[in-house]
Amino acid sequence: MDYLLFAIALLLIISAGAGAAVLLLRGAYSPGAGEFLGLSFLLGTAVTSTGEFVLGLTLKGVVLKVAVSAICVLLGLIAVTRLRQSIEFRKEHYTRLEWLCLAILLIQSLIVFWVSLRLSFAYDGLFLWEAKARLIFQAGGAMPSAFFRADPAYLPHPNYPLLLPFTESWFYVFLGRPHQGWLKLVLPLFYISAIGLMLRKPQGRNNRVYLPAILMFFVPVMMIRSTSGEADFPLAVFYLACGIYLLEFLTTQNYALLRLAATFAAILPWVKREGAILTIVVLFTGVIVLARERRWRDALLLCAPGVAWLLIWRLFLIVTGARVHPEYFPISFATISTNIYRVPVIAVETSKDLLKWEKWSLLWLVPLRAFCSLNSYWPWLALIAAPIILYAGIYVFSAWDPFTGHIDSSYSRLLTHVALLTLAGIPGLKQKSTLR
Amino acid sequence: MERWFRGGLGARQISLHGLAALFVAAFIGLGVAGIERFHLHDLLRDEPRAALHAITRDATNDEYFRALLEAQGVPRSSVIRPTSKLRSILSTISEDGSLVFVAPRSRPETDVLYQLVRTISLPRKVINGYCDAPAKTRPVTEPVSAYILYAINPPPNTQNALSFAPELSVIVTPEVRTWTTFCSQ
Repeated sequence: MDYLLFAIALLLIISAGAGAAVLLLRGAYSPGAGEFLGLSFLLGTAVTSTGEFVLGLTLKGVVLKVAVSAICVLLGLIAVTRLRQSIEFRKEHYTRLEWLCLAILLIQSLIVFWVSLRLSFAYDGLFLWEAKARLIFQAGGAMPSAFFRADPAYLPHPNYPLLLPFTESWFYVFLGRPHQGWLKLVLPLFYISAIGLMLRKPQGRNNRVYLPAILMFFVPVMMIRSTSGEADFPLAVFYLACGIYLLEFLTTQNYALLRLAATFAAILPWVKREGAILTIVVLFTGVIVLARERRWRDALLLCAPGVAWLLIWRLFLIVTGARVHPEYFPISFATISTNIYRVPVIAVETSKDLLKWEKWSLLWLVPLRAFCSLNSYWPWLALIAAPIILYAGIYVFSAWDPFTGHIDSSYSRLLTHVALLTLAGIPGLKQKSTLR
Repeated sequence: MERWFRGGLGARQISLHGLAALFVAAFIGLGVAGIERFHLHDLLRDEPRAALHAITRDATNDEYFRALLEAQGVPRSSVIRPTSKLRSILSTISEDGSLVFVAPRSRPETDVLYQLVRTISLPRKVINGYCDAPAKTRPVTEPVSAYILYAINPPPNTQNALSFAPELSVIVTPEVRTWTTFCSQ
């Protein structure tokens, strides 16, 4: 019975995401089947988690479950009815080499599933994210409003975003109980989605590039992060989606891609707090390019959903009186002048992390190659370098003592956010047009 | 490849392709070496029941209990479904009061065990009481419905002490007492 309930929960997520994808694409862009499935899962988690959160403010229990499920079914129906009319899937013809690459990716994916089943969640995956999923499940599928005002000593980080806990609790609600074993099958789906997105054919190109997806497996921390239950890997996949669609829109001016980029930019802060930084980086980069060409309307379309969600979420936290666990000093000139001595230490410590081949293999050599042609690659480089620098800069405000402990415990995880987009740039280094 | 045979590539392009192939080979080689450091292949040699444990309802919670207690010399096989047992015990407590987790702070695993008990006990509030650092414990001002003891023997003649794992027990008590009195057991 559990198999069936799990399958229903997953199918509802995918049907919601497929409907959302069809509405965003409006027939103006033809994705591959793998890319469409990846999009459907990512958008589906956003739709169901947002639905549970918003409707959960007034509903709970069976009524909430039925209401969100109805939205999923409705979006699924839209997907089914419009899919054939509005989206023409690309006809796929694979060479022998491509079949070999697909076989490699299949084996890699199976290994990731196996590792996920065998390993336990990491500390944050268990005590931060899954704990919230349990709380949501126990409250009938809605986050209790008292949670946001709770003492962070007993319920950690009430101000953190909730896409992952709501996604996990979605499965718990359908299974009728929290079940960590089943949850281990959900987390690798983000890995599969990343493969789907990396295998996409950019417009105007005939060949699909398999190398980034295959190399993702050989970035050692990816295997651990994608199965740890933490929000970092899902955030990396959403950032990958946001980045590739924005970069391609800037080249092709296909508005379906702009809608996708803007939607994913809005989802980023809903996945993890650092997603707000990524959203700002995406919007800033996009606006700079568009402003140079005086495309103000496009800039507005890109920014509107992300800025709106950032404001709504901030307002919600203020209204609910969400308590903040004091990890940082206030961002002020006084803090900067007091902690300015940290800058060289932070530079050394964070650089050390980037150079750890046992974590990253040669991943960070990829953007270095692009630095040689800065004029061609700068938007892609900005999307990668800006978060790396901003994340390091945040430690100037760290309230940890010693602050180097904060770097040791978190910087490597934060780098995960840009790792997938970095890999996705590999084919672009050969064909500059996709990155310009 | 065809272009190679037709002589379509210049020497510079061939060297670039060679460099790219070298980069990919090095990427994969270092990646495999890095993955080996996680000792994932050890999972294949684990005890046969580990695979079954890994997909149970409380897989991660139970594994945390087993690993943390194993570090204190408790055999893994003696830690049987601790999460389920703790949940069953807590379900028998009708009072809404908080729980107090009493343990020696000096043990390295104490903090993680506290987090584990805190998570399993949600939505109940669990207050941590550290015997060798009582000053670092917040004052307990609210009603308490049970005490969870780690590495502390329950007081003699305690009727309602329920063990859910080696070294871990719950004392369900309506009796109002200061948690530090457990520390002297």
